[in-house]
Amino acid sequence: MAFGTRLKGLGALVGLVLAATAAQPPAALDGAGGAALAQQAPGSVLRIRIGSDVTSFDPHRPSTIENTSFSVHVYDGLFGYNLRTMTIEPRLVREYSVSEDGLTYTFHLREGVQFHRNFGELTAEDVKFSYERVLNPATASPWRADLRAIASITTEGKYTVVIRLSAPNANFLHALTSRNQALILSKRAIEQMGNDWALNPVGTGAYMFEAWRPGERVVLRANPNYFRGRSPIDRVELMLIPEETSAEIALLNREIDVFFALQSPEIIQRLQARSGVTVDSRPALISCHLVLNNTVRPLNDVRVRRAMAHAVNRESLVRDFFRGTKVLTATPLTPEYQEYTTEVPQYPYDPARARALLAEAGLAGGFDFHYVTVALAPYDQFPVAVAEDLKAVGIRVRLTVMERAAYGAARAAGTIPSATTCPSNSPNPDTLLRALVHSDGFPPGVNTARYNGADELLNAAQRERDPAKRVDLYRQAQRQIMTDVPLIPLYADRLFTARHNGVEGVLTSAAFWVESYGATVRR
Amino acid sequence: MLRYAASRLILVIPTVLGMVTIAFFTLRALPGDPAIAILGEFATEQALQDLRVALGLDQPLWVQFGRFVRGLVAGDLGRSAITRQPAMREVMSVLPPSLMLAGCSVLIAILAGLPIGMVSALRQGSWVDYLLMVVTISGISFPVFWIGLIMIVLFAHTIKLFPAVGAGSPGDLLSQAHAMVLPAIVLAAGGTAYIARLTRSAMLEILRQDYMLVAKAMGIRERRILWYGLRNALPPILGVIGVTFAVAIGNAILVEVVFSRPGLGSLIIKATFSRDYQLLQAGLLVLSISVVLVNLVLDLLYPLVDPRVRR
Repeated sequence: MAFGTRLKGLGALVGLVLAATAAQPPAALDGAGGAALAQQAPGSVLRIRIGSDVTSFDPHRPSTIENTSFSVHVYDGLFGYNLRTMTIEPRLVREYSVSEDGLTYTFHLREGVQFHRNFGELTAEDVKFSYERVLNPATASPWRADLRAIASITTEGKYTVVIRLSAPNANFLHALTSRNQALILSKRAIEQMGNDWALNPVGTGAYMFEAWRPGERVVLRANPNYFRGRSPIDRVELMLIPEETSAEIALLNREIDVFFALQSPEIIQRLQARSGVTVDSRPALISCHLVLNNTVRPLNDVRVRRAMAHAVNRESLVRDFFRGTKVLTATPLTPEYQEYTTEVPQYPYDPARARALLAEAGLAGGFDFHYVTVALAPYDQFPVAVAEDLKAVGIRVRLTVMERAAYGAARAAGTIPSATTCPSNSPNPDTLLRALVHSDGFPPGVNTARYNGADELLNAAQRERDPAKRVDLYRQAQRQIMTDVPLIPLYADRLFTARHNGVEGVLTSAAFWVESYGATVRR
Repeated sequence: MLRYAASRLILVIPTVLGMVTIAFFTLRALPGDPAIAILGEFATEQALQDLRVALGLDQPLWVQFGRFVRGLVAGDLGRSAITRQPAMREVMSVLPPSLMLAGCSVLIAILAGLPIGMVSALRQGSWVDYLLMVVTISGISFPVFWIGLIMIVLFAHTIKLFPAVGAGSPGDLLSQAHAMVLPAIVLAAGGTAYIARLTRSAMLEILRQDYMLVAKAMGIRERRILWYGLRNALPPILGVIGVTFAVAIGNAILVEVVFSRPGLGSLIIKATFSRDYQLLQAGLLVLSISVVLVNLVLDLLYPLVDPRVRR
C-alpha cells in the first residue's frame, strides 16, 4: 500500500497510455449483481484480485478484508447477511427462538450439512466448540468481545444449541452472522489435525480450500455437497495483486476476472470509460474521521471543535480530492445504516463562522494543532488538504505521518492529540459507536477522543428489544455526539469492484468482502 | 588456495551471527506493539495481553534473545505470529522465486552489461558510446517500479507478449520462465548499468596500459587483445556483481509488488508492517545468508581471475 503513494504520479502517466486505447461509452454504475444459481461450463475458473495476501485461514484469528473474503467462501455461520440489503438471514440455522426475557436463544440447526473432506455432519457440538474457542483466552481472538454477552452454551441432542446471555443484547444475532467469530469450524478436524489444521481449513462453505501459494494466490474448489446447491464455478482463485495499475492491466488482459476493492479514483474513472468492463460500486460501512482528543487544551472546548468542523471543506474533499468516489456523512455512522440520521447539528464549510467560534473561545490568534495520521494511502494524503483548510482559519497545523505499527501503538497508548480513524465496520451499529465514541473504546481502543457523552444512550439502545425504539435511541445518540463533536466525520467510503463483462453475480459486502457463490464467468 | 577458501568460509559464521543479532535488537527498538499490529486496535486489552504472553513478548529482552539464540542453534526460529506456521517454512516457500529472479536478473545484467561496457570503451567518444551511456544512466536513474509499469503497459498490454502479473503455473517451468522475463529484465536494469559503466572505465584504463599498446604494436588481433583486457578488468567487475546481487534482492521488493510475484522482499515488508518478529528474523537470516554466500562464491572466484590473490 505504501508503494501506492509513490506510484500515484506514475499512474497518471500510465493512464495516458491506457486512456489512448480506451473505448468511449461509459459503463453504468449499478448494484452488486445477481445471485441466482446459473449454469456454467465445467472447468470454469473465477480469478479475483485481492490487494494483500491472506494471512490466516482461521476466521477466529485476526482478520483483514482478504481473510474475510477467504472465510466467507469456506465457512458458514448460523446466519448470513443478505449482501444486497445487509439484513440477517438464516444459513446453518433452520429455525430459532428467543425467550421472553431476551436472555435465552435456542437454535435448531439444519440437518445433513456436511463438512468438507469427509469430516462428517455439522452438529450442535461443532457450534458449541466454535463459540467456546473464540471465548477461550488461549485463542487470543480479537473477536472475543463480540461474544462476551454469552453466559453459557449447551447442546440438546444433535441439532439444538441453547445460548444464555448474561444480559439482554438486542444486537446479539449480528455476532452470529457471516464472518469472524460467527463462523463454525469442524471440532473433529481441529482435534484430529492439531496445528496442521491451520493450513488445511475445513468448513461447510460453498468452496473447499485447495492450495495456498504465499504471496501469490489462494485456490478454492467448489464443494459438491454444499447445502445450498453446488456453485456453478468450479474453481475460485484469490490472486494477490497489490499494485492497482498492474491489476487494471491484468483485468483488461483478462488475467483476472474481478478487480476487488479498487481505490484509486484515476483507475476507477479509466475503467468506467472502458467498454467490456463494468465498475460496480456500493456504499460501504466504513467512515473516516478526524478524531480530536477532548481531554487536551484547547480541544476540550466544544467551541474549538465546532470551529474546526466548520473550517474543513468536506464537500471539496469528496468532490475534488476523491473525485466523487466517497460520500459525505453527517455522523460517525454511514448513510448505509438504517440507524443513520441527518437530523443532527450540521457543520457546513464556513471559515468565517470558524474564526468567530475561535474568537469566542479566546483563540482569535489561532492555536497550535498536532494532526497525526498513518503512512497508508490515502490516509497519508487527504490530511494535507484538511490541514490546509484548518490553516486558513488560523490554526497552526503540524502534520505527523507515522509508520503503520507505530501509529497503532501510539493511538492505543492514547498519547496523541488527534488521530485519523477509519474503522471497517460490521452492520451492527453498536460495534462502531461503542469502539469510537463509548467509554468501552477508551485507549487502548480507538476512542482517542476519550468521549463518553453518549454512553447512556448507547447502553440503552443495546438493551432495547423493540426495533423502532432501538433505532430512535441510536439516532438520539448521534444527535448528542454531533452536538459535542468529539470527532469530525470526513467522509463515508464506497466499495468499487471492476469486472469484465463475462462475469455475473459476484457480490460484495458493505463491510468490504467479496463472495462468488452463484457467480458465473464467460471468457 | 584451500587456506584462502577456508578463511573466507569461517568469516561467514560471525558475519551472519552479527547480522541476525543486530536485526534482533533493531526490530525490538522499533516503535509499535506487535500485539496491536497483529490483532488490531479493536482487540480487547485481555486479547492483547494473551497474545503477548503467547508470543513471549512479556519476557525481558535478554530472555527473548536467549530463546532466539537457542532456537537458532536448534534450527527452530519459531512460528509466524500471524499465520502460526513455522517461520522458516514460510520463508523457504518464497525463497526459490526470489533467488530465481535475482539470479536471472544478475545473469542478464552480466550478459548485457559486459558487452555494452566493452563496446563503449572501444568506441569512446563516438555517438555509440554516448547513446549506450545515456541508456545505462537511465537504468540507474529511473526507479525500478516505474520501469516495471512501463514494461507492463508495453509488453503485457499493448503487445501481449508476457503476462502482466503472477509467477506462472506451479510445476510448469515454461510458464514460470515466461512470467519471469519482464520482472527479470526490469530488475536487471540497474545492475546492467552499473556493470556496463564499470566495465567501460576498467577497460579504458587497461587499454591505455603499455602492455596493451605493445600487444597492439606486435600485431596481435584486436579480439585477442580485448580478451586479455577483459580478463584484467574482471576483478573489480566481480566485486560489483556481488553488490548487484544484494541490490537485486533488495529491489526485488518493488518488482514483486509491481508484478505481483511472491518473494522474500514482500515477505519481509509484510512481516515488518505487522511486527511479526519470528517471520522477520527468519527472513532476514535467510536473506543475509544468501547475500553472504553469493559474495563467498565470488570471493572464491577471485583467485581464478587474479593470480595475485592465489599467492
